[in-house]
Amino acid sequence: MSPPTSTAAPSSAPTTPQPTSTRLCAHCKLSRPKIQRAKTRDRLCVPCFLHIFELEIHQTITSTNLFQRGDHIAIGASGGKDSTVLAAVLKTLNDRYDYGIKFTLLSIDEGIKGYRDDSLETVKRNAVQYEMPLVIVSYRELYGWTMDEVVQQIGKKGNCTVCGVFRRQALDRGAERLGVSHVVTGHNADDMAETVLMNLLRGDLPRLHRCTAILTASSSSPVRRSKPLKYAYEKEIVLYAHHRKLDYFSTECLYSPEAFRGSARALIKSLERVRPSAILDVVRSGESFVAMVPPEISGVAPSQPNTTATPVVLPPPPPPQQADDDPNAHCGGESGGEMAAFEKQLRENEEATHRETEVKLPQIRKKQKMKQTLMNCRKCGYMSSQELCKACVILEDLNKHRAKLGVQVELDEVEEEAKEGVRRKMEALELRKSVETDTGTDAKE
Amino acid sequence: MTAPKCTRCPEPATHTLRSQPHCAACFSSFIRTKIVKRLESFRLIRRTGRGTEPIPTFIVPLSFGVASITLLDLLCWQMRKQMSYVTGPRYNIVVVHVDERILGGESGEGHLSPTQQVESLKSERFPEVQEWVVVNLEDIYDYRPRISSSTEEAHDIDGKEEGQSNKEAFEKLMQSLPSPTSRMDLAGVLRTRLVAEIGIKRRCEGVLWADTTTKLAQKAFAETAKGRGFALPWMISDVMSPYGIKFLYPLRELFMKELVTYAKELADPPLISLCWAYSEEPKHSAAKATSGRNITVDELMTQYFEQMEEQYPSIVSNVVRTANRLKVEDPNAEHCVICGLPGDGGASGLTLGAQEETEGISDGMCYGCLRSTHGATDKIDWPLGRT
Repeated sequence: MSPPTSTAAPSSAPTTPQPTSTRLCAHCKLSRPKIQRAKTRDRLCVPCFLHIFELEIHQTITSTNLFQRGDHIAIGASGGKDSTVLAAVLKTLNDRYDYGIKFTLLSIDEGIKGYRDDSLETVKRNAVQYEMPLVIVSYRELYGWTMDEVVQQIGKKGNCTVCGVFRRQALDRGAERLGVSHVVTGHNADDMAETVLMNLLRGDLPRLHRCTAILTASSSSPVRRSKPLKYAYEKEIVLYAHHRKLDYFSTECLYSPEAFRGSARALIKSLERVRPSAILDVVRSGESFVAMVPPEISGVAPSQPNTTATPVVLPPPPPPQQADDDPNAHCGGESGGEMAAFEKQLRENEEATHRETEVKLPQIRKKQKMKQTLMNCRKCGYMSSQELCKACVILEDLNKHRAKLGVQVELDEVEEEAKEGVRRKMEALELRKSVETDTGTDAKE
Repeated sequence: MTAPKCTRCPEPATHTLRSQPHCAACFSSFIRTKIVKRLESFRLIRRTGRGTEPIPTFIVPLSFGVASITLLDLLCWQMRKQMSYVTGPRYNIVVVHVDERILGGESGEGHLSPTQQVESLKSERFPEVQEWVVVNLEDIYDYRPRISSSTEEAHDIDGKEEGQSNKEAFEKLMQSLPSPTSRMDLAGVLRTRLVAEIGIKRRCEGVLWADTTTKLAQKAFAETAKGRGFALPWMISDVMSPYGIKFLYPLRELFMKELVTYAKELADPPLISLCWAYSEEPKHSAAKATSGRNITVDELMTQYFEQMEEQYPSIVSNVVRTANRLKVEDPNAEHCVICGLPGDGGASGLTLGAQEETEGISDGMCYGCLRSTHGATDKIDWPLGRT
């Protein structure tokens, strides 16, 4: 991809350099500034801001060779500001610099009434606006459960864990169905910085190792994921959406974020106020950590004491089992609960270490960890390091409890389905292409 | 209701330590043991017979805060104990106080200068100390880089204009920096390097930093937030620093509040009156931290971890353990001209977008130093050269 050097700058460089007048846009030095950039505190006029915002994302994409001409790429679209801006910017850049990429919107329907159903309407409109086809994959189709049902069964505590595990697989499944091997998501710089600090707080070295990569191609997933907005500030994303009058859905997930992320998020916001560059600086540090995590940890299961790769067992939610990089997914859990639980767990570990001086088991355990091999889930065929993938473990547990309740015919049917295994359902999965987008499919020539 | 018994002995408990009831003696012994064990783990203190081998000397920076005073007290306690043995003390210490009044801080103790304060400590409280050094932060200009420069760059390296005093040069440097965070950051770099230089000059084996668990966690986060993540191993771990002297942290397993309890209630006589740099009141209110006004990144993190320690001490120590496991990416990488640390993998400029122009800024800086000097109003005249 060779991006043309000519840019669609709203204004050419001034021929006569103006003396530093604070009244003029710091970029074009012609118009009156209307926006102060969150990143640099530069004052810019609206067209310059929009242009620079896009240009920086373009630079991120080209400097990391993120896309190849002819790629078909799915945009993980939630209808929120980040993914809407991502879709809008990618559409703009694809046209402006002739990337030659075919984009498709890929949405996950978790089945949360009053939240996802509304935001999906937004995505449907976006699909028309950006002339991109839209595919929606729902938890209901994939797993036989909506998040609302899951919450009804297990309560709000720990539902984030379920949602995160489900979403990760759902995105992969959706991408597979589309024949796409690359999904871009709307994670922004604030999310990245937050994740770096959160992983430090949780002592999660494996995630610290991979959380800042712009492109993650993991052996446990057939689909590459990338984050073109990783250097874009949340505040600027909101400004961009506002000034381009983008159509997005602004409600957050119904529940508050989990405590660790909440704490890290608050800290990041304070840091930004102290030193605007701090968000990027944290991301930069996070990038340094990639090479600093000892090799025996990077790429292996979490190193945390007592968080060895045991799959999620419901209902008590072990904090380190969160989906690592999905800040929008973190709902549920009483705030503070996780931190207190983690604190307790750490303290117990500490006390336990005092008692276990003579037994030298850890070495053996380490070896076993190293031997961890990738296989396919016995039930659904999804890549997994265990016999059953995380989603199937969760499902097994959910279904078991549902069976115990054994109330209605409706439920029995679902139970029946579950017994047949997720694989069947996967095969039966119909891709729901929204009617509106059919006209838009050929827009990318 | 009877008072709970101490967890370790039959005495009634007077304090709570790590959520267990303890008596005063067991609390003190816990603190002492933690430090002694740490010192032993450095494997620098040999168990030699008297006079056969030279004993190591450590440099102990003293800020007159609770942690450094307590460390000094406990080191002297240990040396005093060793003096009663046939083998005599197994190490010596040189105490250095860096006078930072040039940064606008307090001098403490009314009108007593740091030198006078040190004088009073010398004989009265800590006669075991081999040597006391009081040095002004700005006197870092007196420490020439140890690399030989064949060209006539001495003037440039020194970073001073002719006829300029250390004080003037230092003030000019600080004033040219873009923000309080940058000033505090680079003053911290200079303090560290000054202590290292003094230690090397006196042939010390290592620097015994008085960083507690709380302080180390705060440092891990603050340095991460300042883009210095690459440098964490030198700031958190017990390692040979790139300056040529070992950096050691004997208080790494103790929390700040435990030392405060020790200094206030357990040490006899109490140490707290010596700690003029310590104040009960947090220096920065939560409101200040929320507004981000008049506070630096380091101060924000200090506040964050002071609160964290109250509620979740194990999370704080977990942060330190985690940071301690990070390894230097490339110890042979080029050293930064400012902080002197290698391994940034070549800071190719600041990341504001994908790239940002950094023209006019001298290269050879790591990302963190580039960030702290970016937007400086003047050319940076740095007092030290490469390590």
